[in-house]
Amino acid sequence: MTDSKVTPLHPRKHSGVDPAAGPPRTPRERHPARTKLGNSRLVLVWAILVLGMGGLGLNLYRLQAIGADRLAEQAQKQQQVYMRPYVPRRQIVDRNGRVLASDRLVYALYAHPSQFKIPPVEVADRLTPLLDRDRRSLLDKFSQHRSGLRLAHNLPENTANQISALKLDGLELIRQYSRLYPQQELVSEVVGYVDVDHQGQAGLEYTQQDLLEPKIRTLRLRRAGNGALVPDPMSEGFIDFDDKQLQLTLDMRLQRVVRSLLKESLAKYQAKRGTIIVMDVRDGSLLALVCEPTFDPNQYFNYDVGLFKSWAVTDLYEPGSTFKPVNVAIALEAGVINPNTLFNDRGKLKIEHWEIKNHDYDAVGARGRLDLVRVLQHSSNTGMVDLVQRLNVQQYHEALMNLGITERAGIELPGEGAGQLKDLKKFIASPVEAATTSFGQGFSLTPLKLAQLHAAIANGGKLVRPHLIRAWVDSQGNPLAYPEPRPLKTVFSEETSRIVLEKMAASTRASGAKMNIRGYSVAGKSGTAQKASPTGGYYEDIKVVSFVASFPVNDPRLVILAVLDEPKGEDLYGTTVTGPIVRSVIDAAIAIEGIPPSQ
Amino acid sequence: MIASARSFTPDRRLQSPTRMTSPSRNGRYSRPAPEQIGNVVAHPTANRKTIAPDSPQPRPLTPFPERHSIPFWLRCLIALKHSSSIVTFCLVVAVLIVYSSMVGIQQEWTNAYQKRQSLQRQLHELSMARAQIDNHLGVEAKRSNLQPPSPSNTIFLEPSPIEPKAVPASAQSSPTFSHAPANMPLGY
Repeated sequence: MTDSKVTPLHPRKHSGVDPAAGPPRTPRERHPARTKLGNSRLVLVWAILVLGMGGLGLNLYRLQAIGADRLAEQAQKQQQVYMRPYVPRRQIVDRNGRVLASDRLVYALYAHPSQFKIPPVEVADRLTPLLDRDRRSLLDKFSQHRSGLRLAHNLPENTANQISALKLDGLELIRQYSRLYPQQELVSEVVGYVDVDHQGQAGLEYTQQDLLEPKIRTLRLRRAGNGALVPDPMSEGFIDFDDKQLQLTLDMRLQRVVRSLLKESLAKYQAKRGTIIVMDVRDGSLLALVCEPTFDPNQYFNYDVGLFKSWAVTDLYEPGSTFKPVNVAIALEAGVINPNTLFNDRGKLKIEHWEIKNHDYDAVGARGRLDLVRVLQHSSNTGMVDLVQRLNVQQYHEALMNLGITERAGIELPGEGAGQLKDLKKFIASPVEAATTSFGQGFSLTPLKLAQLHAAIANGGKLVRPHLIRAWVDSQGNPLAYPEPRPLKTVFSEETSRIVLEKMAASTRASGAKMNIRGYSVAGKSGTAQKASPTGGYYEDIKVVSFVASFPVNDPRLVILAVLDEPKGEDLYGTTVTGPIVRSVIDAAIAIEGIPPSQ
Repeated sequence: MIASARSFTPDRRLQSPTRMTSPSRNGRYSRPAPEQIGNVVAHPTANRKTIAPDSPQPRPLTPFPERHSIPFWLRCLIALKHSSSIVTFCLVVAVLIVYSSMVGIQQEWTNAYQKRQSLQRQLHELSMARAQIDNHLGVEAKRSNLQPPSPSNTIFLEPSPIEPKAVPASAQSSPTFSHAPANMPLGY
């Protein structure tokens, strides 16, 4: 460093120290020429720089002030993409998280023969093994139109990958979602199905359409030069993954057993149709809801439209003797009878021109005075008429209306039926109305409504709302939202419901229904109702048989109702046909739901 | 630049005639002999005040910029330029690092996003496969006439009663248990 400082002090060789070079010009002498040249150069460079700077300034002004809006718009067009990501329809799961309905990724394959680069025969040859179609049908298809031919839909991802690996021009794979019901027909009338446009057409798929179909939002994103999405700025909610699931109260293990039992019974008795309802009496949640015959929602197009409904919810029937405990509760609640009241079983009686008799009158005749247990045990119609006649007709009608016979129970399935009961004027007009209603005929309600009424008897008098939706949960099963609290209406006192349940249990024990399960007390009631004819009156040989049971009596958990419509064969009674079904369901429910014995 | 400014300082000393005569005082420089001083033609002072009046002939003199002490403001500007160039260098490096990391993070984000999408799809497919297998097992169980669960093949266990006194008892026993390993082997 020190040396370098010295160097400028050394004489410069070019400065003309050589005396032979003649008298050197003084700096002042040669400076003007150089300065002139230097100045002009300097000016030139300066001018270029100034011009350059000026140009840059002008361009800056042009970009920032004049064309700013246009350029910003242009940049936005190039960088911003508007995405409408297709989110799969939400899953439906049971109470244990088993998937009942879910979307899966599938591909539709379209062919555009006008864009084929190789002969159609060759295309057909390559596609044949992948599409499981013969060569001839593919060639026929290719000859139909020049473009837009759908060759397949619902292709799985593997096949789609194989097809795209062929790299054939004129083939187009379109990604889409298709609804799959992995449990097939197990829960079909509850879950329903979606059509090709992904619109729910039956069951919960229909009623919960808006909640199951997530909102498709338009997202604004930035795209980098290589086409990759850039995380900044990112619309809110882009990262959020919609993993909401609709969790039902159903238990697939119980549902499977119940469906299997009903299928067997339907085949055995060649019944027109049947249903089994298993409901938690404490809150109205349904653990199983089965109707037969049913359909496979994966192939709904192969089934009759009439099967798409859950007839336990939509169709009305006359409940018959299964309604008798409800009448007993009404009379107890009204205070016109007490637990020890005796009723007169006359075997047969005539009201106006109508004859009312017990089902076993021809064999047994009149039984005389019966207590509540025996009235229920023998399912005495005349005894029930005696019971109801102790009530004021208007009071009786009001009590029935208070139970909501003509109202819908409020389940989340479509097309729920509201019961039919004659209005007060007609009800009062003829004493036979109250008399037939006493043993469950002359009015109609849905099987679900009857289960709700029996649940009220079992749970201390509360009219719980039957429901199928437990909550909205995330993919880990953590609840995100619960349905709005369902209103509870108290229709019987706890005392009334306890007495009725005990009487039912006693009658069940005494009757022929094989409901004796060690450690469990069951309160059941059978029903055998003649079917009403559309032309008036009742068919002699067409019946609806049913059995309803609540258990365990000391701490009721479940109510089970089984109904078989138009069974054929001998000895067709609620006790003989549907009783064993209910017994099997109770057995399964005890083990599956872990209901401990009381004794 | 500061260093080069300093390099002028010895030059100024040389301009002083008195110091010219006592070169030994500045031992750091290999000073030429007095008669050679005339060779320092580039020195401006040498042009004006001849050091050796008995010089035989006037030597050609080349102009040399006059060296004055550098003003404070210039020194400041020089310092500013020097420091700003360091700052600029640092900033350029920082910008390059930030830019490359930004591009890298974006790339990484894109990859991670695609991976997440694919994993979600796989999770979805797995849950579907599980449900289908579940249904298949149920159908097979029915076909092979497996018995449905019933109370007869179910065992209910009484929950052991919770005794409030059990807690202090176990607390007392635990210290004795902690001594136990000293006497008995653990491997069994």
